[in-house]
Amino acid sequence: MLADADIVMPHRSNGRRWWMEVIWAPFDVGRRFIGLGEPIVLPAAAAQERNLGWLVPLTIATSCWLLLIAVSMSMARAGTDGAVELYWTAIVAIITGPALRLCYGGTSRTERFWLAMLLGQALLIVKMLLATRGFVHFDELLHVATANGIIENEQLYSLNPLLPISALFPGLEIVTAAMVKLTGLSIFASGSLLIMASRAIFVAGMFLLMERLTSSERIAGVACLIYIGNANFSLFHAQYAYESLAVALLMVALYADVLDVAHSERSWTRTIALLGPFLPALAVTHHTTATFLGALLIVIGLLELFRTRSIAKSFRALVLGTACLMAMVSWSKVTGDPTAGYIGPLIQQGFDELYRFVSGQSAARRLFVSDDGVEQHFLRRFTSLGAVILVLLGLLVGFLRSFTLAGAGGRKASFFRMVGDLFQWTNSRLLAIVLLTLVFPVSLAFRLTAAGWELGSRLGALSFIGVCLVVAVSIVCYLQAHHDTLLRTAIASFGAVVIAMGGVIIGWGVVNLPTGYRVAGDAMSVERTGIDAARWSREMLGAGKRFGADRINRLLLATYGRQIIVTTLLHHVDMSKTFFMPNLTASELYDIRAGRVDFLLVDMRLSTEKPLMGVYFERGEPAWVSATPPTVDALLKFNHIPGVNRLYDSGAIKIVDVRAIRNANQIP
Amino acid sequence: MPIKFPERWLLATSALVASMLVLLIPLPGVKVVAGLALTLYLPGRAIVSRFVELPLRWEEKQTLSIALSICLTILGGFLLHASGSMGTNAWAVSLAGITMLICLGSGKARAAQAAASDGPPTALSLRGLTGLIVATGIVGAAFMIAERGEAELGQPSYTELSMAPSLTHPSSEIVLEVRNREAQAQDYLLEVYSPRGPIAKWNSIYLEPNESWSKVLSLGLGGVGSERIDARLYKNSNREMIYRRVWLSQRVSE
Repeated sequence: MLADADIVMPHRSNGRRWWMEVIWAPFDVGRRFIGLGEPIVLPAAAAQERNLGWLVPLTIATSCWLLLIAVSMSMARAGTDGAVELYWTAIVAIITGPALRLCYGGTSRTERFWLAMLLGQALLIVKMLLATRGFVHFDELLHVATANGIIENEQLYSLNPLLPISALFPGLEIVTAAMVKLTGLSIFASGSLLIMASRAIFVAGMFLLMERLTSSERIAGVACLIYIGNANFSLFHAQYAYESLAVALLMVALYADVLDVAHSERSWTRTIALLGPFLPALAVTHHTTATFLGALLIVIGLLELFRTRSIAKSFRALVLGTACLMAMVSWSKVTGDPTAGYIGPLIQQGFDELYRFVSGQSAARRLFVSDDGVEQHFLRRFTSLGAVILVLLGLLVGFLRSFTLAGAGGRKASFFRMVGDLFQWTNSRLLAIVLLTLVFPVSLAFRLTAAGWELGSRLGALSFIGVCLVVAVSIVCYLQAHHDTLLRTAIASFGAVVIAMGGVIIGWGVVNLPTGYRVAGDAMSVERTGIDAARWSREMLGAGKRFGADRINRLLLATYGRQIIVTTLLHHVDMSKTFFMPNLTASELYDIRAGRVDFLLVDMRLSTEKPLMGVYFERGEPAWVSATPPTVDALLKFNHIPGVNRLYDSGAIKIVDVRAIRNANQIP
Repeated sequence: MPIKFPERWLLATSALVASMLVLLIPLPGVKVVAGLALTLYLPGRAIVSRFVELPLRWEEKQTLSIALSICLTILGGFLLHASGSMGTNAWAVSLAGITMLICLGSGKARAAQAAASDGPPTALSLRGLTGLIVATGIVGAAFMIAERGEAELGQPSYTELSMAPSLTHPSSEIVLEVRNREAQAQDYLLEVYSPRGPIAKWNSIYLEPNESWSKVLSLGLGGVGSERIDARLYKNSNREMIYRRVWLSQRVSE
């Protein structure tokens, strides 16, 4: 019970200073709104924990919506009207049904868990329906090239010029190789099964982690729903790429940590058995995620140290965090520090541009506009902005309430005492996850810059683990805390659906429905013409030839053709000028020689439009290259150079043999 | 009263059986199930069974088992790389070995956990089970529609013409190939020239969609230096317009 002395408003009882009450009233409303000094109210759990409720009907409904999505994709391929509308209606419907049940108070724990799993898998299937015959996304093909090397050579570290770092962080590809060897399935089937398993353990891990931390299956279910609002969830983390596996392992590692400390008896053997495999496995799977886990464990250790003033009690988390970071750094050093050259410039550019943006020296990146200048539909823009606003609102309402959930605050007192109470937490793990939300606004700022966009995207995905928890707390412990009515359930569901849809829209960007071939459009550029040319190169020229090609064809040549691609990343040779210059000068011939290029794959379709993803070849290509499409004459200049052979012609794609001019003493 | 078989023995036996199935039974379905169990489940399940004392729910056990198995497979991959082989046998033996090692290693058994943990989440009613089977069928249909759409709709139409030195006799033979990737059957005309005149000509190469035609040309060339061989393809015998064209400077020896 609160004593009168604890109540903040001074002189309230005697009413002599009424004007102070008037001045204070808005502040008190604001204080209650943000939850400072407010006790936490956790709605009671549903009585029947194992009741499946609406799970089966919702699963059937979801599968029907997935069927309609497949139909919408076929409609889009055939150019039929209404495909876009059908697609987005189905996506909204897939999320809305489970959202209503997850926000509803009477839903059982079992139903919540399986609804979260259903949502996770359904959105993964949406991505899989786009390409059922092979991987088509840019990052996926990069990793397929590495997996090919491991499977065919039965050795690690096969060279991957497209993404050299992937060969040095081969966790994903090792598991794929094991699956391919043991099951006899293809890389595509094995990789898809692995990503489905990763998605399953990611969602399950998140649910179980949140449940253990908050002791509320309702918060856990809503948090899983809100996490769809993370732009990386629907597409990027559904791809066959190392980060998709790493974030899943991260989530289960955090859950295993919580599970380990839940044991009454401390045992290093158990700690090592439960968490030991995660640390090195993450260190060799994905650099950023491993660093994040190490840093988070150290933060947990420091919070424990601050809380208990006892090194003994914080020792475990500090040791685990340090071990994780050491594993990551050691692996990086063993493999020649590849992250410094890969991520270092990315971070540097991101911070530089953020500084220029904040200081007004440069304009923000245009949101919802692809690199070729096409804007997203206004409804999608509106939903995405609404999602960001709702997330920020949720953070405002839920942040301090989450502190209270972690045992800090929740007692109405003087302002300074209430603030002081925030430092009296009892659950350091929950608090560390809540503090992750502080990174979220930074990630949003990075997203406004062109160079920092990628960094913002990675930061956003990791900080969203905290964001989804805090927003879930705001829904369950504020919106639905005292009046758990159907109306509030509907409002909460609507908000959650908007947040989730925002993530889906931002995540998919322009690539959601098949639209036919687009230039440098990643998944929209991978089609039969390029695959056939790559396969031909392997059959007729043999594997392991050195090729120069554009952004998409180099992926296909590396994966389907097993060719070596000359890149700036590995060979420090920029081939873009060789293709786009009107004539072959000494400079371009130098590039051919420096890269020891055997063949060039010329894709005539590059001349038809600007690159959808901003570059024709790779990041860092000269600005003039990506500014305008090349002329047909520039692409066909090799026709007139003596000694250059054209070995393959499919109309759109021509493969020319430049070995003769590479070895010649002068320009022919 | 039924005899309760200790879980760790059951897991060790399962790992052994799975590895034998992978290595000895050539049936694809059996290999898939056994292979997935070895890579994605059994090693992790052995850790959970052996080291976690708390009573866990069914979903908690499965989540930890899958994640730990993936980690152990990754770490096992490095051991195999160091040993010099990442083939099927090595994978099967190593993953089964890891599982058995964890299950049968020394230390006190954690039997209490197995006894205290929950069973499967909820026994589905017949209606529920039927519903899930229907849902699975509908998702299967969705994949079929998507696959068919991908294969048949909006695909580009083109013809591939290629000419490359033969991989077996690169100095004396060239391989000419035409592949029809058009929507309909096509009748092609193909001519091959050298600077000294026509070398070969095919007036009618009739190809159904996705059908291909190839020919190995032995070049009996005289003189020294390089000679350009030029192949021109015409579609539906339309001699007005070259449809595809490739050329190759063949090194000619005395």
